[in-house]
Amino acid sequence: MKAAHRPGRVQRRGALLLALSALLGCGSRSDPGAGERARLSLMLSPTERRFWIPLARSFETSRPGVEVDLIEGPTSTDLRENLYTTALLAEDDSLDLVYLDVTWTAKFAAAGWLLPLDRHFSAAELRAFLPAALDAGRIEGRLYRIPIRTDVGLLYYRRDLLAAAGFAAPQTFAELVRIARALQSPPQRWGFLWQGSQYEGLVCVFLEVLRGHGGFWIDPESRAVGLDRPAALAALEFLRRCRAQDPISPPGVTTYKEEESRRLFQDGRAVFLRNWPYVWSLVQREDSPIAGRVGVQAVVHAPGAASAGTLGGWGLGVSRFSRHPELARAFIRHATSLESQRAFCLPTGYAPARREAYDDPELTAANPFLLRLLAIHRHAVPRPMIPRYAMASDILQRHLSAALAGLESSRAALHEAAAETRLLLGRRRPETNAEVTRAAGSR
Amino acid sequence: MTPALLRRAALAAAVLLISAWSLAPGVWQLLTAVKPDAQITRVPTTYLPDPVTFKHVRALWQRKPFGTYLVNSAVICALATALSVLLAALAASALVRLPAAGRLTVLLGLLLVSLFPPILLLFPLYEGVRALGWLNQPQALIFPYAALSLPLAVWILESGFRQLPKEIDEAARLDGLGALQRLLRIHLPLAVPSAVTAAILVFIFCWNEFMLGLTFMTRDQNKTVTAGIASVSGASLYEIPWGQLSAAIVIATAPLIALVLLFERRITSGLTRGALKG
Amino acid sequence: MTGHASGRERAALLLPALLLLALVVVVPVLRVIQLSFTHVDLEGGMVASWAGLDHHLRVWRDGRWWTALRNTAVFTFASVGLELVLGIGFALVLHQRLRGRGVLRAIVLLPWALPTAVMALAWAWIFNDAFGVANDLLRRAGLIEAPIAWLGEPTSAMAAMVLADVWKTTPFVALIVLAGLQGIPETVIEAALIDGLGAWQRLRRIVLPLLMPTILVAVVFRAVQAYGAFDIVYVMTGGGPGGSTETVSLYAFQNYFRYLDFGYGSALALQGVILAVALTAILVRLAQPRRR
Repeated sequence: MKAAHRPGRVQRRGALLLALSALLGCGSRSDPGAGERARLSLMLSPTERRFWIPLARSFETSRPGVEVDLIEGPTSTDLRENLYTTALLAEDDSLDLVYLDVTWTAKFAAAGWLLPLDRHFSAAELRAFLPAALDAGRIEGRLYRIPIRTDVGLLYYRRDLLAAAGFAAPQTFAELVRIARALQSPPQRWGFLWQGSQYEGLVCVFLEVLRGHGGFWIDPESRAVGLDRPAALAALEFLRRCRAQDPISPPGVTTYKEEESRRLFQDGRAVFLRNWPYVWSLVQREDSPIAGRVGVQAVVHAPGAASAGTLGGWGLGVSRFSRHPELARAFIRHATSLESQRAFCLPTGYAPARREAYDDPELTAANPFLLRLLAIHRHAVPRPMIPRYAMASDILQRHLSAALAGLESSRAALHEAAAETRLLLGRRRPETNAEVTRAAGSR
Repeated sequence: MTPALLRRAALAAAVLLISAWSLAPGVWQLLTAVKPDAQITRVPTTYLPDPVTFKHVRALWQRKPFGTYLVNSAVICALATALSVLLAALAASALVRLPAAGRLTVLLGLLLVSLFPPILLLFPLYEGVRALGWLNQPQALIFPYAALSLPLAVWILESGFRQLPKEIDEAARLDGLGALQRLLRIHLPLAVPSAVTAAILVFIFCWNEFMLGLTFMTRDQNKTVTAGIASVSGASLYEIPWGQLSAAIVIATAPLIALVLLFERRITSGLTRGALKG
Repeated sequence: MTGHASGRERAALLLPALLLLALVVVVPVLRVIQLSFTHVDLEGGMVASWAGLDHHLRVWRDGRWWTALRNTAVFTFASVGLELVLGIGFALVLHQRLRGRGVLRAIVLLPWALPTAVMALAWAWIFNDAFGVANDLLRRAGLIEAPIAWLGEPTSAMAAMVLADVWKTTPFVALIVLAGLQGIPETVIEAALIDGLGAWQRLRRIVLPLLMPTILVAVVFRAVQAYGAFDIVYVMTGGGPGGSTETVSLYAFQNYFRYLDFGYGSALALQGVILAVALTAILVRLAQPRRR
């Protein structure tokens, strides 16, 4: 039982000997040369893990003696974050690579668990990635995460239903509501589906509506909080009314996450769906009841404001406690190469983070919507990248949920949320007009 | 129906209800564990599996290092139990000869300690374990488990020792035997039944512990069976393999079920004696 | 009788146990107290700095803390209340002269011996809204039409959790009450029979009052344990839906391992314990006059 995790020591000694004998001074953490044994570990969700297997195998083939251990973590994102946390907090070397959600990076970096990657990737290498996706890995100017796949919130709609009724695709909230009301026939077909369960997805949805109304949540630099401003109230009221007043969304929308809402839409039970890019390839499959009848575009906004899909995505960072940082970075390079991106994104329908993947004929043939996605992705809005994001998000989720369920008035909920958020951020003085303008206008 | 017959019928019904209540969840897990997938997700519920399949057990063993979990639990719990009972025996033999006031103080103090919510201790223990480099090592759990179960073990052993007639103890002391010798040669042999009871209860406690196991063991191959299984929760139906999970639950609880069936008498007396001191 | 030498011997025998307890319990408690007055969080780069009363004051203004406290109170009262009723019932049955009493006791004991965390998963499966047995049985009995989303609604999630906890810990209460029952002298029961008291009257006027001390012990024990419940919440509901089943223990845990706010987490844990101690003291004090 104890012998299981000792290979590290053996080959570290071996690597040192190799370095000495070869008179190569690679520093105290020398990585194995050709033929030396080493193991890289990475924890993934069970569903995504199998798509990483080819990437891992091809890396192992190119580096004999290296083993890539893809550990199966629990399905829940939060539980995986928990596992990463307990391991990294313990300065455990059992995980070399960290598969990071956009919302985790600030926390992991602030905790000192990630190695900065700036010095090891050239500017040319970094330019190959979509800027928004790459920036999600930049904390306080330093790069900690290289993106693998990226996401932006999208509005899916039933092109056939809109065309038959003579509607153009909506650009504003008002248009969305009007078309939804006209085309829906509840409970067989609802107007607008979104993710209203109390979890991170709700924050993503709310943020799009909030920014679409010209508001903001938290400004990372000034720590300004915009939750108790008119725009936030308008945004929350919009969502609440979708469900509770002249509803265009089913009452169960507050229990939906991505999959529940997707399944309903795919079964033809809704006119509009707000969801992520992965839905596209699923609804376009032959066995999908609505194949060929779906349109997709950027999320709607208020007149005068801009569309602001929430930025999502996953990427790789290197654990500070890894015994093979150089090897880990090599794996990251390998996993983000064009071939790997193609191998990964073709079967999954995920959006690659590499810019040139969008020019790849094979990928675009299988998933023609990628080009539209590229345009929309340019305006993707990240969530505030503060270290204590988890708590700020939990505060927002709780109060949004309470307001949507009718347990609290929207005004009271947002007021509470703003107060608790200010307390969390240590913000004592009220926001100045300059701060508000800057926060609302920034990306 | 005569009152006596009514009474008998009511009693029988009560016994039946109580048995059903106690056994139903476990039985349901057992049935789910050997049921084919299609029947697990059928509505309305299929109660009896047809046919019985061991596919879930096999798949489970392949997916997660279940054998390793069981070995880890067995080793950690056995060692923690041994340590706990040993220290408790030493302490109890000393307590027995204290004047009533002193003894009560110590026992109540131990009781107070055992009532602390474990969350209070979790983080500093984690810091300590991390500082000692004991994460993912068995001793990270052995020492805390032994400590947390000490009050229970001491209570049980102390009342067991107290039943020893004082005269034998006095005679031995007059013969010149030291406290430790008296403990080993006289108290312990007579207190073996109490020690066994204490050991069983401590073992059950250690096996069932979750919070520390979850936090101190981050690698799959070091996890205890309770922490290993129970950390698979939290996702939607579409993602949890309930058949495998049920198989895991059955396997994880089987040793304890065996323990209870074999040692019911001891457990009962230990629990009631240990708790009646209030 | 207590000579100097034997005093030292006694100390030596007690030392190892006390030492272990000091290291595993006393030192950590002191550390938690210290941490609750310290800022150690991501904002400060995980470097410790003096916080004074910041955390403790923040607890009182924290809406989520009050919710957690309320959830914990509901859980504790409901759970202990039900266990008491069921436990007394079980004990009365077990007290009867039955054949196979040992087997019945073993069966009754079973839930208590199984790991809470593992059985919580089993209960989550039983209360699954689409395929769970609970819904199926209720539907077959004609009590409900549509399946109940047990773990998806606040009230039903709490109810499910309470049920799971009651199932697990009723044996403990039952055994304690049973021991108390066995301690009631036969003469008292005989006197009651001679006085012509029926079974129900015997129970109410003689047995229960005599059982009070025992019941009190069981209640205090269980109340404190239920208050600190972690396993069942973490595994069965994760504090959801919407934090409606989040208990004090879970909230503190989240602060430690999700928000990495060790100072605030410590303040929460500490305040939780202080309240638990206060609760126990009140419970005991309430019961005192009746004993006399």
